[in-house]
Amino acid sequence: MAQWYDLPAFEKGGHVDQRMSHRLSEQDVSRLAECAGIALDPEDLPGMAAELGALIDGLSPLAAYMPDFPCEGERDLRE
Amino acid sequence: MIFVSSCAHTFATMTASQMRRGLLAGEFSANEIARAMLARIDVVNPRVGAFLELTADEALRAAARVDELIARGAQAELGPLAGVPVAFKDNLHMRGTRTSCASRMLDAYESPFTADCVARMLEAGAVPLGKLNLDEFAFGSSTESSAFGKTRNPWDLERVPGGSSGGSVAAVAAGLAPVALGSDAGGSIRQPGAFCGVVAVKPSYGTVPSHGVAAFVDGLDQVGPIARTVEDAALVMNVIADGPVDYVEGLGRDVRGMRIGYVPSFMEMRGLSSEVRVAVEDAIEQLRAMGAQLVEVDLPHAEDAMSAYYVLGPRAAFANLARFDAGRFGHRLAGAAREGGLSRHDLDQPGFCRPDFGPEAKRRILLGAYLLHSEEGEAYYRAACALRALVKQDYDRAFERVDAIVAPVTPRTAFKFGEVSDPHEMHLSDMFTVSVNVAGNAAMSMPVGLGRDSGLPVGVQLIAPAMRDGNMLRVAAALEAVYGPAPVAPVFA
Repeated sequence: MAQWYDLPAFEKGGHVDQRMSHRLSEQDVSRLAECAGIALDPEDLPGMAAELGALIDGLSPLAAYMPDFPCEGERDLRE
Repeated sequence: MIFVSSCAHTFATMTASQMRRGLLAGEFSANEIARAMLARIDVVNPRVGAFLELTADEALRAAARVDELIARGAQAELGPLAGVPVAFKDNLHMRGTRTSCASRMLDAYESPFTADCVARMLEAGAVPLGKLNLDEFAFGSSTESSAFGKTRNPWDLERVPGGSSGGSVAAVAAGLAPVALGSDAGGSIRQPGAFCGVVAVKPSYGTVPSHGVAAFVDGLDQVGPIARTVEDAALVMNVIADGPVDYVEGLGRDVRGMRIGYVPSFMEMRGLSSEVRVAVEDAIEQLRAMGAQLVEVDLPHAEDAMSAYYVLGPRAAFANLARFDAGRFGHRLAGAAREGGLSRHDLDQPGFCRPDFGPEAKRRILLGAYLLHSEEGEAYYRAACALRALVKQDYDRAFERVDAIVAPVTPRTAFKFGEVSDPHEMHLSDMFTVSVNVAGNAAMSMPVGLGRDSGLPVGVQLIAPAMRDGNMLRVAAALEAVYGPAPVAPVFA
């Protein structure tokens, strides 16, 4: 069974990364679904990956409230 | 035009207060009201889809109790809602009824107890007509995500009623009940209230007990009344809210001398339609003309509150919906079922899944999973909490200068079914409402007529400091005096 630490993004640890959403793959979503005990039709994976990516993109304003936000987007916001 | 009996028609357009007065005057009985409303629901509901379940037996029993008290001259024992037909969003428990949360996961679940807010309504003499449709587990802004069919906007049956309390507002707007209860974690009472042109109140967080509400987001969810007049909404507030405040009594004062804030940046926000902006500006001018002092206020972090909401909400949703694990609640896959229920081991087996969640519920659970179980998720959570504190601070500072704030409820009027398919765009329906929940304040949608372009209802949002809900009701009563009480939608009037 997939575990949270199997997801590649989690290896970076502790930082909000705006770029993360663009890398949310179908495999990531499949693992999330398995961990959450949610049934997903394989045909739905691409759409769900895109939708989740967009929703995570929508959280990007939070970067402005992070003291140690690491990526380029955060520096732009601070400027 | 829908034909129903003239008696049902008369009750359909009556307010709760008028019904109560008529009962006490002996003009009609509670039984007559209940039977007429149930008959009207039979005719109208197939077109509107507001009710998921009727509780006719309970309604007639409650009506009989009221009539019996009146018959033996015990008017003093009548509660403030005696004989008034009411209905409840189907995420509120009422013993013996199905409480499905509009999800197939709970399609056979029967409530073993009654929510505190529902119990207070029943103890006040209300006559329960039934349970009302919603977005599945209250995840949505259009009621399109209900597993049990569409609810239609009574003003235009091709359009959504808003959500997630779409059934509650549609029932009131269609004259199927004078008052209903909904719940609001990010705008789920106010947004549909604006779309369907009714008075829709989200009380301050903590004002109405949450026991018996199927939780979506603990800490943001709040039950509130939906009605066609401010007086009816205040009457229900008197019944369901904690504390000694008399919300009806507070309506008698005008707004002269009140300091009412408006937020210029809201009026310039991208996505706000011109007809909604014009309607809000008109309401501001009406309040000024009535002697209120209008004051510019700034809520610099309110726009970002949506981001905090979509961290706090899905995290809570993931945790709350974990109980629908097919062991305690919900269905099992055929292969996973066995005697004695499911163990943790069963649930951890590859391939075990919960098959009955709809797409929006799955989306929010998966987002919650992402946010809740990763180190990144903790970072998001810390940022969301920091932002929440700033949003609250903005409101606190504003309310040092004003008694209430006027703002848009929604960026536009009701949209057509299927018109908004992008989840992110759908979530933006709540762009003006979410910050209120994040800060814990009170707010309501007050109908101010029809949009000049769409001809559909427009609401303005009145926001009050936490535990000062009477402030917004007072402003609402003043606006009602100008714009008139909310009518039953013309198709069903």
